[in-house]
Amino acid sequence: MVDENRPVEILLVEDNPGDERLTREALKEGKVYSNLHWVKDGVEAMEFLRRQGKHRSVPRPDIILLDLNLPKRDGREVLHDIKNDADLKRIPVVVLTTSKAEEDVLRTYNLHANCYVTKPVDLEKFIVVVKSIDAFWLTVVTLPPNGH
Amino acid sequence: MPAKIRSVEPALAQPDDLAMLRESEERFRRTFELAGSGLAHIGVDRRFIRVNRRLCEILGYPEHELLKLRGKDISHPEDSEVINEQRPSLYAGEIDAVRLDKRYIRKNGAVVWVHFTMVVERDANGVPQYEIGVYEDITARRQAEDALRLSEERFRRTFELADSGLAHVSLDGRFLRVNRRMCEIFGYSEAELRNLTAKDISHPQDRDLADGPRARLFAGEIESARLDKRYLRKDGRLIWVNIAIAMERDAEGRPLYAISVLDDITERKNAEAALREAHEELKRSNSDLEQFAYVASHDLQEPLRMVSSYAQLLGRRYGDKLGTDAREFMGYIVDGAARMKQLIEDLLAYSRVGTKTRDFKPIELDKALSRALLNLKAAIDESAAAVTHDPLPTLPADPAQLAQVFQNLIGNALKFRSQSEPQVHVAVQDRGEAYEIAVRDNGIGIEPQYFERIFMVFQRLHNKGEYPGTGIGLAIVKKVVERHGGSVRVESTPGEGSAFSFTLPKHQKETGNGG
Repeated sequence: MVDENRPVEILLVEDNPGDERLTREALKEGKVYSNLHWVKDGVEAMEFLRRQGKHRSVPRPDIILLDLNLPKRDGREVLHDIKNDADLKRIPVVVLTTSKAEEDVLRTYNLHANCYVTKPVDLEKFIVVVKSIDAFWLTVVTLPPNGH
Repeated sequence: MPAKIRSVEPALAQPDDLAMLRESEERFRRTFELAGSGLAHIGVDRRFIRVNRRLCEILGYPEHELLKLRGKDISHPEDSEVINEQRPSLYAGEIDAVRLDKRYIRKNGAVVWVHFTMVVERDANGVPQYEIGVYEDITARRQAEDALRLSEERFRRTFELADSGLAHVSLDGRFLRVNRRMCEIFGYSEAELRNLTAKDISHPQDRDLADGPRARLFAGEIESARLDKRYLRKDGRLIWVNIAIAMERDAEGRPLYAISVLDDITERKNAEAALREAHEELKRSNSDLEQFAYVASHDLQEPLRMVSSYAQLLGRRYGDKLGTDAREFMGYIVDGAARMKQLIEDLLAYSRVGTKTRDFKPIELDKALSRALLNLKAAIDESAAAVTHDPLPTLPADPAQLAQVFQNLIGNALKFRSQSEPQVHVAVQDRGEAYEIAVRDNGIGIEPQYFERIFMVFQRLHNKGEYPGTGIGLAIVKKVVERHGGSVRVESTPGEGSAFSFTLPKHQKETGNGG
């Protein structure tokens, strides 16, 4: 089981600094005890997850927040890589989409994201989303423990 | 025969020969009567001395009447002198017989064609005694010849008058015979064309196009062939020609020559190409537009979220440090961003109507309506509206889009309600190939001058304070209905209510994706 005092390790895959900051602020508002790790593209995301290069000593994330529109390797490919990796596929992935329409399109790819969240324009809603990630986390910690 | 005739000369008969003579006479008579040809002895006065039964049949007179006549009396007026013209030569011994075709008028007035042969019989001194005429009825043959001549004449006239180019083409490809139109199409004279082959005037790329069909025609595998082919006129201009080819054969079935019917279809081909191009261009630009709307509305949301979120974050964190004005301004920023997000979402929804796969399966419209009513439950409850409907049909459609149509139309009926309790009825009428579905309300109604405008994207008749919304609802209805091959219209009386009707075909034509 997870240590109650250990922060939730969150990997945010997002190329927009504005969104990164917003996520950080929302986490602050949501009072989630967390460590937010930020990578800016799909290639770096896979390096982080596989602890390669400069990410040799990073923790294994408890949850991944994945934006879809990424430079180099886009979110769909990252999701595909994660879900086809025996070691990584158990990490919950929350896919952040810009529109509901995008979500519909994605579902047709059948990529098995754990959750789709449309980024809200409203800050209040965004905070609700981050809080729901908190709640989501509490339900998924009973699944495979970190580092197994 | 002449020998026998000579034997009937009474002057030459001896009494002891009488029995033999009688027998000979009898034999002659039988032969004379049985002959298949008309036979006559004609006296020097040109009267018939003796005629056989066959001649009576040919000329249509009984024997006793014929014996009172001269050949000339019953000749066709145009042919009455033709024998007389040759008689001097016959009598002079220059010719052994008169042979000619001439017409007689039968007793019943009908014309009969006869092949006539005549010799003259002379006595021992060479003095003409009488003539022997042999008459063959050749009316049937002459009629066949006339018919043939007429048919050839008709054919020649048709050939020349035809509005299609006509050509007889030899087995080695030369033009044997061409008509006037053919010369017009290709800009060559008849003489020039006859020195050319079909390949000489073909467009280089289409030179051998007719070889395949021609070989199959030659082999008798097919009766006729039709193809479109390019040629070059004498002036160098490219023309498109539709050709039909058939093979003319002799009695044994051996190919003689090809008959080609050629039509200049250059204008049609050009028009087709222009139409095809315009259609492709339209499809491309439509798809570009949809793609653009999708990408634009998607990418526009990103910066918008930044504007809105950070304005709100500012308000949250520093609201108490800001004055009333600053908080009000921030409110407008957030409100503006929210409205813009709604516009973008609507635009996206509108553009997505056309990008979905068109794979229509039969759906029960009842279910689409139920889904719409479920989504509208709050609005229906709030307005205490009565929504009723006729039994709805099953037809091929996109279920989500049809639910959207019902939701937008009924949603509008509730939104634009009058003072009285809203009543909405969904009516169905069978229009043969399609169903017409009408959503009727007792709401505020619409002025007729706005009937067209309301179906356009983001067109609104009321300010936002009165009725919320971006003005996308009816535009989406129109686009969905048209994508299903139907049409939409509105009838309304201000103050009494509106009826939005749309048609949906009972069967969808087979098409690809998109639209």
